[in-house]
Amino acid sequence: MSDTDLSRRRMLQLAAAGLGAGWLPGTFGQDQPEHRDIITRRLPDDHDLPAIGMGTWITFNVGSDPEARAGRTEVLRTFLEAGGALVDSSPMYGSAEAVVGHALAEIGGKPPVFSASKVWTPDGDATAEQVAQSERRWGLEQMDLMQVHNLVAWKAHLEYLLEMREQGRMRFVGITTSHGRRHADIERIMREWPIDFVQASYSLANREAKDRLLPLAKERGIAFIANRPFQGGRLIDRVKRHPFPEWASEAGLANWADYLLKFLIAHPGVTCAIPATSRVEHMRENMTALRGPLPDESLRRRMIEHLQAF
Amino acid sequence: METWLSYRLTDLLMFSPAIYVRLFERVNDALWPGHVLLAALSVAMLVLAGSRTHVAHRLAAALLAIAWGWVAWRFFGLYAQINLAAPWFAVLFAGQAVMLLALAAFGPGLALARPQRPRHWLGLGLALWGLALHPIAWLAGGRPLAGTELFAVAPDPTAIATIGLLLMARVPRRGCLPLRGILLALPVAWLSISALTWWALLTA
Repeated sequence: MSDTDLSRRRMLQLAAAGLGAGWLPGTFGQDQPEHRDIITRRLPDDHDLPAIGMGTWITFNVGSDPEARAGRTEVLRTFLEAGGALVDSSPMYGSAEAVVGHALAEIGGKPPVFSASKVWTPDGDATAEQVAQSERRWGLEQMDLMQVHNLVAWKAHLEYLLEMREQGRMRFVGITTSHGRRHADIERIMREWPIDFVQASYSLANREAKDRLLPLAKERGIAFIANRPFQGGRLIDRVKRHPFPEWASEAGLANWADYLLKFLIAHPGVTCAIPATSRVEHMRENMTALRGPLPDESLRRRMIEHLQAF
Repeated sequence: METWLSYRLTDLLMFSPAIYVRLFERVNDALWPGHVLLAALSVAMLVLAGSRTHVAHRLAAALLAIAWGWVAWRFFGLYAQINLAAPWFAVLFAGQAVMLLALAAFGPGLALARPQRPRHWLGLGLALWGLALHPIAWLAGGRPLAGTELFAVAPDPTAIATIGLLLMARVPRRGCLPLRGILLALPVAWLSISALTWWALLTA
């Protein structure tokens, strides 16, 4: 089979899965006039994905606490109203998937969410079970993206997920890592396996991914999700102790969250950055990065130098 | 195992300090007004443990076992929603409940000695801390009344008070078995886990 045949077949599968999941060709989550100016990145199926997504590690693990669940529902509502789409979770995050599902049900209608979760079990035979569990917890018929979490039992899971993708039972398949773990293995999988997404830690203070993973993702046409963009909150807490620089305001950056996130999505290899928060006001700050001019290379260098001076 | 070894302790912390504190509020909220009965049973346990009859000592040990069993079921049942390791902690508490029941059924029960030796005084201090001062310390530290940690409701004061009571109690050696040491092992193990949890919460 030629590469062209493979590509055509893959595109038809993606189109079929997309229609099944309620997607329409073109853009995603931007059918409202106020969302037409948001920054997007092209996915392998020619849909455009908003470049700021949302993580749920720690922030959405609130159990059945009704007060906390109501708070997280407002965070998700704010995210979606600002034009966001990709929500990333994992069975490793305790109750986070169920809390996202609860929030989606509370918001009602058919929220334009790009659902991304993970398979996280050493049991290589439990892939289908975990996918079904995620669908159940999110309250969705089909997940958009399933990723092998931190390469746990990755080969067995990846084989099964790719088979599910071929059957149109999910749109995309990916792998994840965090904290700079196992980048060599990630690179090897990116070269040898037909995955759609890769997720790794990338922040202004931890730019290890830019040397090899990001160029490789671009070369292979693999979408890149930058996790831990605020280094679990430590980075943004640190920079917020300093006044926001005037030159950054003049360059069109609105606040520190905007600064840290636009730095990431300005890289041509980055598809989406996924900051996590439990607070509506912080979500609003994060979502400012979805609009406005992106820093060019010289401004990105200045942004690094400025932070190194702290 | 290889998977778990690649994580640091702070990587495994999957909830925020605020949600952890909310856990105590929710456990207290669900129990209220059962706290009154709980206080009465705690006083009864102390009176029985301080009395001179063997049956009373057995009843005191059984009440302490119930406290551990209750925390295993109620607190860790809720905690399991936000911590994937909580069911293992529940097993630890249930195990201690079983051992205390065995102490009641087959051993001397919980018979407090009059404080004479340093071990007794240390035990008295710890028992007082777990039963009364621990919740007050949290309130003084700014925790709301609804979120304070109480003996037989929250694991830390239950473990601290139990260590204190066991240090004060007359627990004879059974052959080569250091019975007191065995009964102290799980409370000490839990307090180590709790200390690590707080360390991770405050430093993450």
